[in-house]
Amino acid sequence: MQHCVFVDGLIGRESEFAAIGSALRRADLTGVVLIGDAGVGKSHLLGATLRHADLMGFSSSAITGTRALADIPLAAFASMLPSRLAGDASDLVQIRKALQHRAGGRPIVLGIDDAHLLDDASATLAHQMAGDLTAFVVATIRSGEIPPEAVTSLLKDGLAVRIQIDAFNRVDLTSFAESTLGGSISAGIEQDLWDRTLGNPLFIRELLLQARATGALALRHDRYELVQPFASPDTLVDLIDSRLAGLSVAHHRAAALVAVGGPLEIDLLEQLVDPDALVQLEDARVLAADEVDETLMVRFVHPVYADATRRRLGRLAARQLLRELATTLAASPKRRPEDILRIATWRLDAGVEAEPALLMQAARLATGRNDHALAERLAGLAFDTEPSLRAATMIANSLVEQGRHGEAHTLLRDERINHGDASDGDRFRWAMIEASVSFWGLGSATDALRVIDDFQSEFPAATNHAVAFRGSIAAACGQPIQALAQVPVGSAAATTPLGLFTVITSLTSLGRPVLALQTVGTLPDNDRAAAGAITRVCYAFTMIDAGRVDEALALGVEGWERAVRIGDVHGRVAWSIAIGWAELNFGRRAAASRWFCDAAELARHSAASNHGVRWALGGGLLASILAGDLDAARRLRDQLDELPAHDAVMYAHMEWRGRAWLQAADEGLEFAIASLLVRIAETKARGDLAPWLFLILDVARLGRPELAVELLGDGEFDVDGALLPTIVRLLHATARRDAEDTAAASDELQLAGFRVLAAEGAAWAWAMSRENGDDARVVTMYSRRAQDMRDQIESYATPAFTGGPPEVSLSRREREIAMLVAHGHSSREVADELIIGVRTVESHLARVYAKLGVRSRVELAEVFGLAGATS
Amino acid sequence: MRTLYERIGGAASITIVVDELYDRLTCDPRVSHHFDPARLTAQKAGQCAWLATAFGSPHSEPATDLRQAHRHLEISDEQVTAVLGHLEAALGVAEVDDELRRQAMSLITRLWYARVF
Ligand code: HEM
Ligand code: HEM
Repeated sequence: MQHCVFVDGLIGRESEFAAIGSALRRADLTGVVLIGDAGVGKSHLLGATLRHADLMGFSSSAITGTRALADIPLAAFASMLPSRLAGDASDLVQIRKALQHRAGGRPIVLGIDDAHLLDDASATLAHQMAGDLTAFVVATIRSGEIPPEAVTSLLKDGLAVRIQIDAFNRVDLTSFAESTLGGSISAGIEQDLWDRTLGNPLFIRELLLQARATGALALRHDRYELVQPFASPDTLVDLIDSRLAGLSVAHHRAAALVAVGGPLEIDLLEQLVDPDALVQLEDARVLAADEVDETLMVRFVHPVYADATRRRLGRLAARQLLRELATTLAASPKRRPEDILRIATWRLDAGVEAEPALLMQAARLATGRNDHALAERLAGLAFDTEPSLRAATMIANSLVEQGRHGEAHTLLRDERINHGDASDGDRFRWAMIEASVSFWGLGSATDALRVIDDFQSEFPAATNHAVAFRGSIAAACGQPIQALAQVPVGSAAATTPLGLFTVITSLTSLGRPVLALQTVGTLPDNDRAAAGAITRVCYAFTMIDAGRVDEALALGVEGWERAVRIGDVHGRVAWSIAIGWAELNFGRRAAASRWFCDAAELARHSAASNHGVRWALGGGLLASILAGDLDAARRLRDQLDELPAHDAVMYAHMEWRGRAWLQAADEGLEFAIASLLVRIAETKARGDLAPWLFLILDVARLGRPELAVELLGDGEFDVDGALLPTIVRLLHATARRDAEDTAAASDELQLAGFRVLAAEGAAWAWAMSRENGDDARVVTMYSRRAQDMRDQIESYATPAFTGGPPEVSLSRREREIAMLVAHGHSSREVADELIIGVRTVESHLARVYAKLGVRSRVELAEVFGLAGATS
Repeated sequence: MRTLYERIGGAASITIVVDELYDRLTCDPRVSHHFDPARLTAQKAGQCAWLATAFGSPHSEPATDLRQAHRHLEISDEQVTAVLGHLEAALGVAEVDDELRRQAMSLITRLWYARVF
């Protein structure tokens, strides 16, 4: 806990501390992650938590992630071992043993400070120990940092909850300040503190202690008052100055260079300042150095210092330093190609002109790093000197990536653009972006098609990509037949990235996911191009429709992690939606909701394009309503109502179905069915068969199986895979009230990973067999199956469940009595036990029998899985 | 991942564990005086429900609050060790394998200490 500098106690952090306690008491959690800005007191809270845990009978251990050790496997845990790390798998076992030995049977709390700096192996070990309940993990992560995947997945897997540690609000600030000083403060000080620190505990503390030390703050009549103003307009400047006091001009210069340039290579710095000064600054704990990609980079020990140093620097001085940095780096023999980006940015910030070619080169590098705002700025400057189509296209691309489609649209039609010396390639890129903005960004298929038409009439030769684009629009609009007519399987257009997208999406919507997967074979592994990355997501969606949910989940998580790693927001959001949809079917609706919410939130903040937002909210709506959370569902529906329309409907069925389910709850079944019928007619007309089938399925799930079968019609239709044909079978079996066939379909659905639907099928089969008056043993068998399957999923509020199994329909008292009777107690004994009358027991029992469809104590025991208990 | 509840064997196993646990508790002079024979059956049912919830049964009700349930009792460290020991043994009787038993005990021990955190 290196920067744990606060006073003891928990002033101002009571509610966060309480949240940690609640998490510790939740059986379904094995950790918490404290997330907050630098200096906000995460480490302090972690320390206090661990100390308290020790007092309360836990055994606490702490490790710390550090930049210096982030690449050394298990470095963070090394200190726990009596001997050195062996560097093989035995280390894992030894560390675990050491922890357990130390705990001696007490429950273990493992603190991880700065988990974002943890080496991967330590993170993985921590994740494992949380997963197998060896330890309860309390980790801190600095906001905006990307922790190792194993840490992130604690949250994603639902093993841990995040607790946000914000800067103090006004009230907490006062009590924190008073506890720091050990006396009360006047209102004036409180205001002053707030203005200067905005509630950052580190700032507050340093400011107060320094003011007291210098006599600026004095105790008068039991209360601290400010006798001189806080030393300077900017507290941290003082703080830094006090750290630097006694150091030379060279030190100031070194710190200022790092402040304006960001982390800098030691070679570069040493050309500009005296190396001794750097060493002294490291000794003074102002600067630190760590290895990044085999280069020693110098940075401030704490980001707060960089900020403060920047603020105290004059504008002119900063420009001067930047100019020096740019010149030195440009002249450096060790310059790497990607340094162009820093050189260009520094020059810009220093007010030095840069030639358009350099700017464009830098803009491309910025795009590669997903820093689209910077790319926009660099390309913008290039455009100002030379309004080429290429620069305009680059800006438009950056704008699109930032979700500013309207601006991109306007810019692409800017009259200043010099089309004259543009290459065909430039024009092609220009047209594709324009079309993409119109369709994916602004939601209009018509506008996009017009752009493509214009382009094609001018360049009839360069048509493969244009053809694929048209096809992709039809595919995304749920018109598979049209799409495949334009981009036939095997055609040249089908091999382009968007062609691949078209083929896989269309075949899937035709209800032929297996054929789709066969046709595209293995996907090219292409991260960079949006179309390439997104096709992988579509591939995962297709796997789900093919009944390979678990594989889709694995692929999804891998894709999501990669998207996070490379900063691909679009991919991250799209993967989240795919994973949400898989989880929802798999029976983990809470996780599904989290994925959808995550996607919607990120999509809203990152880009104005609303196709993704729509699908994410639609998925969230369906997940909420299936969870029976009407309030959340209504909220999501209202949000959807506010979004502008979008022609892309490829994953919109979740929204349509969610809306229908909500209508069933709010307005009545008939309204829900009516809305479904409209969508069923639309999808059928387009040949959008897979969504059509899901919609019909919901007609049955909502309670109208006969109507569902009628909608399926007599005509043969060709669907493939483990899922879609089984849904058809399930629908027919339920409409016939055929318990056996329903159960068989349910078994297949289980294998396909559609475990919710499988459990619903099993519940139906049970209900049917009861109604059909089957033999008690048969009913019991179905009931066991239904309950087993239900046990494997979270609770879903669909009619299949709310109507049947005992867990839902028995009251507390009924269950209590049923349990006792099932355990072999007589009514008399039960009555005595519960201190109620025998007749009351009997009447409860009669209701239990009716609800469970059992006729004797023996059958009751069987339903509870306690056969034999009554004999 | 499957829940502990499923892996341990669901309601059936839990019933065995609780029956065994109470048999042991009522015979152990260190703790038996705490348990009122007249209320044993109800306590066992409550215990079953609590364990099912703790192990992640998908449709359990909000669990009994451990702190509340023991508020009126004076419990020594030795008694805690005794109860935990019996619980572990009872899990063994229900044929819960070593690793699962370790996980279950680890969880319950944590929840026990966390009740007053
Ligand atoms: C399953 C989910 C999604 C799929 C399948 C999907 C699909 C696509 C496709 C195929 C494109 C055209 C790519 C190209 O032109 O290279 C596109 C573009 C775009 N998508 Fe998505 N998307 C999804 C989710 C999202 C989400 C959640 C957002 C949220 C902001 C989003 C924002 C955008 C934007 C801004 C563009 C325009 C990019 C451009 O014009 O080049 N998408 N999407
Ligand atoms: C170690 C973990 C423990 C767990 C998980 C646990 C769990 C529970 C639960 C869930 C109940 C409520 C049952 C109901 O609903 O009626 C309960 C009641 C009870 N526990 Fe524990 N217990 C633990 C330790 C102990 C210890 C160490 C003692 C003391 C010897 C103890 C004595 C009792 C007694 C006497 C009751 C009945 C209280 C009453 O109904 O008046 N328990 N326990």
